Amino acid sequence: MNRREFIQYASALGISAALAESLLGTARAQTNSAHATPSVSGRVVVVGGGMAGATAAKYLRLRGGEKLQVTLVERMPKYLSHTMSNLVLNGRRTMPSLEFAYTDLARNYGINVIQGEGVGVDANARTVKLADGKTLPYDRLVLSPGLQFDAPPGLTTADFNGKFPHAWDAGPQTTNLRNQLLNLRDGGTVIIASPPMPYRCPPGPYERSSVIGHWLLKNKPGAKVILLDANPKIVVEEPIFTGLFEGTLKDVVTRVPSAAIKEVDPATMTVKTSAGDFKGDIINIIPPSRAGKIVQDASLVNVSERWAGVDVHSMESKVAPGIHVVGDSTQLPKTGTYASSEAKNMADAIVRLMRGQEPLPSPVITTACYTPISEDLASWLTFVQQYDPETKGFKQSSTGMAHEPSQVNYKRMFDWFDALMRDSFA
Amino acid sequence: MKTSRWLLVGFALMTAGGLSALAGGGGAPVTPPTPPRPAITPAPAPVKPRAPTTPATTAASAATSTTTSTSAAITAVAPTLPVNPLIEHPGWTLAAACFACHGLDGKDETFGALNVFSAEDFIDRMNELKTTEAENEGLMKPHSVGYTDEQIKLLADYFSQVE
Repeated sequence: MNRREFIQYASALGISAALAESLLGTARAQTNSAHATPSVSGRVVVVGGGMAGATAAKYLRLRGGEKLQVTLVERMPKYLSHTMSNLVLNGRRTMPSLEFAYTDLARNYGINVIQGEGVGVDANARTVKLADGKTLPYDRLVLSPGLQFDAPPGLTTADFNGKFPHAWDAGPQTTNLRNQLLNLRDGGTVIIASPPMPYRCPPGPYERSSVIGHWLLKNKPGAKVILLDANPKIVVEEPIFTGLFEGTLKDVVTRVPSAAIKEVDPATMTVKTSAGDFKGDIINIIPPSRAGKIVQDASLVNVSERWAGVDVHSMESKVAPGIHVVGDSTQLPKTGTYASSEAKNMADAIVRLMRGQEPLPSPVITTACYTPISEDLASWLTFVQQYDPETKGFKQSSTGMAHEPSQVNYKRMFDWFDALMRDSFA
Repeated sequence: MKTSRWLLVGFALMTAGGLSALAGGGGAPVTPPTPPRPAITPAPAPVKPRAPTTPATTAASAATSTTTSTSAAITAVAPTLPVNPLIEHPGWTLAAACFACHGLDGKDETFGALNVFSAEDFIDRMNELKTTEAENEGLMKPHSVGYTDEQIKLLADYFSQVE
């Protein structure tokens, strides 16, 4: 019986062609495994230990087995979670509670974790150079460096670490913004500026406006948030946030649509936008971003001059075979759970590619995400994306969101966060 | 019943139909193949004993790492990796996405363990979720409608085999 006959036969029995194909694949893998080692040998280096990189390292080992050597290179001694970091701003989480060490990945999965900074790629020699001069050889390379942020006109990137924290990477800037809020005068104004799509965590700017708005209501009489949104419409969870901004937060949060930043004047604390000029006591610009530096330096950026274009089956760069880019640096949506789902698909694809097989033909992305709204309310957003052969990208096949913010969601949000971080870091 | 009939049919076809020759590369001489590992474990009780929930590893373990100014291996150990007999299962990649909330192999009970279901019960449950109006179950609704029937069958088969 040949392949076509098998599929026809299977079809007669009510088994679809796609399923028959996958059964064929299984049979092939199992037959191969009778003659060759089912695991795969080789070296994969992962540069960047955020949600995408940490998940990739762990799942490469789970999928590839003992003989697949995985090295994870990360600049910081611990991961600081962006997810939940808006709850540092209202005092509901501490920064240490967002720290996740890499020791479990090393201990539990035999990942070689190196604290260092990847600074260059030699695609011909298949090596990565670290800041301390060390060189790591690889058979396949995964780059997951996160984002590089652009300073708006009038500011420099150094200002992010001073008076104008973006706090879109969790860390000292988050604490800085928290302190600025604590020191805000009654009746003061907090300006939050949201960049045009695509940016990391689409609900994030609305979430931050809502969390801070609720905190101001209780703690800073007369104070308010002006959300300067570069996007014309609220980009996600629109009914939830419209309900809040026109309801509970009506007198506290004002969203200005289509407010593209022209310039920030630090002397007068003014943000000049296409929708007018706005003066604030605190200016929190969430800046436009682009692929991380090592991705740019390796000349992998080929989408909108900002992102690395990848084949979504494998996350392999379209311009550099053997180099995969995963997480926020690609053309795909930028959230922690999206990155986790991408990383798992990629781990499977890398193992298949290293065995001389093709990646699975129809990858699926699955996300589920909770959004803090206040000190005791949260909503959620979830969706599934299927591979679309026409665009060679993903197509949303379903989506859903919370009916309304609730305390039950707030409680479950922490269970979700713990599970998510355990899945990536433990 | 835990057995998923479609997969049994599939493997019956493979063994009966000489699919091993096909899988081995077309006209190559047929070496007596190792019989495919039975994909279906014998059906035990409809609901399996629940696995213990792994305690949360969060900030507590974070405190143990070290800070150095130059690159340094935090740990270079070679533990024995957990062996997953289902690692070549065609539903592994789909299932792995579920692990983010439901734990490795769907064993965590916080949001409901997935390995307690027989394949048929899993499919029934997903079908129920398609029409739910309950807020907390609502989060799973997009998953029940976002996957194809075949993908749900693969997930059902995967989780039903997780011990």
